[in-house]
Amino acid sequence: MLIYLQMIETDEDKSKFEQIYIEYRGLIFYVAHQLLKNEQNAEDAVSQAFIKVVENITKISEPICPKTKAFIVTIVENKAIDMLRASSRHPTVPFDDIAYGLTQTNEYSHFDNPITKHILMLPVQQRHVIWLKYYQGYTLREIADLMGISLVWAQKLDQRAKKN
Amino acid sequence: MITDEMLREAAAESSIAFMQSIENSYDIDSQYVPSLKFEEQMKKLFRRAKHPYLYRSLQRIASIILAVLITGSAWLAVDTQARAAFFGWVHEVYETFFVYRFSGDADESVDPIPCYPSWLPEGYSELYTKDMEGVVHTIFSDTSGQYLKIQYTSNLQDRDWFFDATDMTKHQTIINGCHADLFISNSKERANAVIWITNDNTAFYVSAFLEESDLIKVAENVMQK
Repeated sequence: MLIYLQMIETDEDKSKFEQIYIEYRGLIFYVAHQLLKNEQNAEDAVSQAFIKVVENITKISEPICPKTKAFIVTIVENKAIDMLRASSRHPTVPFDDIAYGLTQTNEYSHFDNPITKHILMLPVQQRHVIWLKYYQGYTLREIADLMGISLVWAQKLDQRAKKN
Repeated sequence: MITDEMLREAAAESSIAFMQSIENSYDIDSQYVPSLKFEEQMKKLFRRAKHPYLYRSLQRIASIILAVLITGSAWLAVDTQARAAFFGWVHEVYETFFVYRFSGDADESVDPIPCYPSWLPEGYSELYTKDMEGVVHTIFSDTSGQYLKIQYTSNLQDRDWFFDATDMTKHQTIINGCHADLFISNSKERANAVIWITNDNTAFYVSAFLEESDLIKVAENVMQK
């Protein structure tokens, strides 16, 4: 007989995920829908994003804060982009050219910090790697898992983002 | 030269700006209504979020069981001395997973003798006791809702106890003259634990959000009723 000695855990995580879900579900559905233009696909992307949130729930210290909100939006954006790529909805357009978010020059021209401007102009996957690594504090191995890519590819994206 | 600190600052600023640009076009009053299928998926995730370590561990159990069976069987098959040593309470380590296994002459018909802690920290009281196929689980709770768990069995034949020691540091200790493994959590979200077997082949597991000394004191005071 196999018996798992279940460790006692605090109640903290019990409400953390529910708080995150209630607070951000509307926003992240909006983000997914903006990209996918389809409710069913948007729900799939949101669902996949929340699975990643659950898998990393112990690393989230504050459920309701700008950093957590940015983390979830980054993850859902990444999942939606994966779905777009897979669906070949834009077979002739390189995905990084698809307009989304702060893509117009005049929208980020007011930033004094050239690195900030540069990050906002990066191709979307490179931008995600930079945000997850330098803002959210994840390792490249964790980022690879979050984004569903290989560690080698995550390392390349990190290098390219800094080289660009 | 761009330093990591400069990158961290710029990453935070750009991420916040990006979020603002999204929220500027997002109408919070036009919340979407999720489909029933989606709500069902979320309910499953709520359950999973309640036990993050359990789910992570269960995903790894299958491969570990296989490793235990292969390595254990091969070892016993080729080495008679090992076979003799294997009879008893042994543990194997797989990454951060500890597998406690008893193999020997334990009497399968033995029912566990009821045990109970004669000392508990102030404020703890019993929530429930369950006997599940010869393994007794007793849960206590204090006034703030912190749990304390005692688990034991006298029926050790063909039982494997799995313990996920992620984010924990293992130490050796003695509980009433018996060698025990003490696991001190490095995370405030997980409890400390101690695992040992008595000379009369009863295996115990005690886990609680207590300091090491109090946890050991509870363990040392678990006695037959």
